[in-house]
Amino acid sequence: MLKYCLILLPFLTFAQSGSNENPVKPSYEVDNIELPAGLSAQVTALDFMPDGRLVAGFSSGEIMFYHPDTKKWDVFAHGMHEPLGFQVVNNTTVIYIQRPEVTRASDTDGDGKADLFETLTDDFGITGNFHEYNYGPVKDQEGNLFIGLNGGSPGGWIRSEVRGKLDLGGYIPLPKQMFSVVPYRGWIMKLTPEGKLLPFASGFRSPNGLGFDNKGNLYATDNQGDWIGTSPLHHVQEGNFYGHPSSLYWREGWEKGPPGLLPVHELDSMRTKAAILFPHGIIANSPTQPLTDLTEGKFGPFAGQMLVGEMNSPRIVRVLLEEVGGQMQGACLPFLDGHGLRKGNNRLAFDPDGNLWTGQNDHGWAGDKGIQRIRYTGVPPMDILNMNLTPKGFDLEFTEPVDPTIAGNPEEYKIRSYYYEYHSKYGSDQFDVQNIQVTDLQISADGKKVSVTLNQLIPDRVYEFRLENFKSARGTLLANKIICYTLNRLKN
Amino acid sequence: MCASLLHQSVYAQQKADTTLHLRAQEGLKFDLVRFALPPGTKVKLVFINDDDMDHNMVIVQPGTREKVIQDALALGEKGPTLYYVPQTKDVIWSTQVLGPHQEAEYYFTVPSKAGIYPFVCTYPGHGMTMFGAIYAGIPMPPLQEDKHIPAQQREQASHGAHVHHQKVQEALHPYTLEAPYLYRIFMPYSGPASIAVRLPGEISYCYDAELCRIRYAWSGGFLSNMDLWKNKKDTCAILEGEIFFEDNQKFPLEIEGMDDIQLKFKGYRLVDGGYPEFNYELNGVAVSELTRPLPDKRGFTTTYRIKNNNRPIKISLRENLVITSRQGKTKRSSLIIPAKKTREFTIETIIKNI
Repeated sequence: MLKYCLILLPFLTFAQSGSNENPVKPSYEVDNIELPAGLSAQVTALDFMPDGRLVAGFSSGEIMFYHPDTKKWDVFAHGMHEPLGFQVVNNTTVIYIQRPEVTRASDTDGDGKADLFETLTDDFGITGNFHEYNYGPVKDQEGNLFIGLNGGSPGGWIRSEVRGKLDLGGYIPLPKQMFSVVPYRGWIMKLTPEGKLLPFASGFRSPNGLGFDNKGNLYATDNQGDWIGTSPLHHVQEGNFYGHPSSLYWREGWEKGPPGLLPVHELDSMRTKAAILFPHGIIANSPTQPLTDLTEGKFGPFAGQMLVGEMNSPRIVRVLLEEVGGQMQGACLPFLDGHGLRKGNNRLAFDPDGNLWTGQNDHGWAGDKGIQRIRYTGVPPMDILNMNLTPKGFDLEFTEPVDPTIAGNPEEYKIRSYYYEYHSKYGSDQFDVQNIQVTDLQISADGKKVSVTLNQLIPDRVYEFRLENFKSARGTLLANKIICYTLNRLKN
Repeated sequence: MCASLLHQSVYAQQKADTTLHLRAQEGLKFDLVRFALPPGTKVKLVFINDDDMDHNMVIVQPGTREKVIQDALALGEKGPTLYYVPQTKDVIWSTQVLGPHQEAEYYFTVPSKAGIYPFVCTYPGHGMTMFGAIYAGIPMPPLQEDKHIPAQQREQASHGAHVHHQKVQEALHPYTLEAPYLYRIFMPYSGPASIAVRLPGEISYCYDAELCRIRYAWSGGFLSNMDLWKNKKDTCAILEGEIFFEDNQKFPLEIEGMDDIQLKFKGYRLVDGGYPEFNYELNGVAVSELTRPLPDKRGFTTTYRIKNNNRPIKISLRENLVITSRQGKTKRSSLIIPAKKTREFTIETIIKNI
């Protein structure tokens, strides 16, 4: 354990601010948003109305509007049961998920407050266990809504009255195992435009974040815990199973008893591996909502890439996805650390001007409260723009030409490779940690791309790069110095 | 005693029906002086000592509070090792002594026999003011008339009713709520998809959104322990008043000829300043239902609007209720609304003996 601490220590320092040798304005600045008195600002949902108002939901049931120009707050609805995500319909109507249902709330009389609350679906079970949070909804191009149903926590139990068919047949009374004793806890569900709620994908533990990439692929994060060695980002496809077994009990035709008691290799052969693993203690401990940057450059050079909130540290994570061998995989790295950013980044939304808003929550876990806005100052960051697998290593693309004296030195690449175990235990250590050598380096003519050849490239491992001393040819230090690639498939 | 406590907590850890937060506060008092819990409820107790002194919490047999206090004093030098809990049959359950600003979780089961069970701090000198009562299956009297709570809290209630409730509200939201309003929240004695509705006149009801009906109504304060949103624990709101109406019999409304009742909750509309008009489908027929209080807490009026229906509606009468409607006629055990009146009709429900 001590060894890990020593290794990890350098990553925990926030080193994005300008160095002494190169004092520049930061590329991103963080503003605090003033909140109304009396509000416990545990943010559960965040989005923008077409007219530019922020709509925010809170643990204590409020749904409120914020006018960025006048800085005024208004109440849209109150008394909601943990509204954990929005789907804005128009300036008077918002769809959201809460504990009991997916609700469409509309202001039909024009007074600015919702007066009509329509239940779009409540066709799923609830036991009353505190951890049965519901996430989403996000909408695909066909108009389907997707929601995520958290499993029940062993830190609690079920109420004497539950909704849905209570079936303890899949329950294993082991400590620390999330359970699914009513349908369809641990599933991502699809709500069709006709109002039918269908099971879509299983194997989730605590998928506190759904979103699409810029190609319309659905993603969900999950949280490290039992069966989840480190927190993942999954590319969610119909019928797939993503690893946490409890939910399998509700798969059609399931006759194998408690799924958690099946041999691990059998479960492992059924599961779809994560597109991205966020190494615990290095990139994220509790990732939240994935949100694709569709600002077309207003928010800086990362247009089309995905950002993911993080609860446990003052960080927002960036994700770089690519398709290899028909599957999504890729890299994750910090996007912003510190700079006034708080912990607890639970929900993200872009405003029409291309600023990123983040809503924070703690709810008894590590985190914080409040809302912040992250602005791109127009100063281009020196950062990793992309990371792509090659047959023998990786291409690292930077936003600016790199300083070739550093980038050309194999010793400047501190690379480790390891894997996380798939097991019922809570979390996983890093196994078979190996130091990887760079055997060849090529820098492109424009100085922005480095092709790295490695002495080892093995699937089902994470390749973690530390580029501590990297800077641009003009001397700007690399903003984020660590990047982790989840290698599921090799490239031919 | 230790062994039995341990056993109880392991058992209950998986099975608590509700979580209760109880604070020992400065001035020798508990923050809550009474709560209603059905007999047999498995309770997870989060006991928090906010005070600078030591405190415990002991649940005793009805009517034995003062005797237990005396017995605790008589423990003398043995007191500290026994956490000031006398080893008598009057004591049902107890916590350990919590030091200043300590917090601990416990599990206990409300006795299966209905009764008013006092709880008290038996630390020497505390018990005469530091106590309250668990109402197990017995209706609560108004706070200002409750002889089972300390005089100080009783007087506070009669001078400024529901001070505690008001304070909780202000701390929780950036606005002041005025009845009618509602909360979707985990409620006791109801399904997990419940809606707590606060009406004017200090009446509240619990609507079960799965069963599309009012489960019960209570008078007095609204809900306490609404800070349950802050915790990663199983939680449930606690009623701050007395249940005066309960209905768990078969669904009260029936379209004639369709006695296999199928319900689907469709949501609600807020009307007349915030009264929820619930929408649901009863055997595929769209029903809207709006409940308002009758003056003097005698009961309610409920207005139904039913679309595209050409059959009479039957409303089951109940023994403890007087159910009438100007649009309907009583026939045996039912109130019948003729088909042509079902577009909109109002029934009045008066609770007997209140």
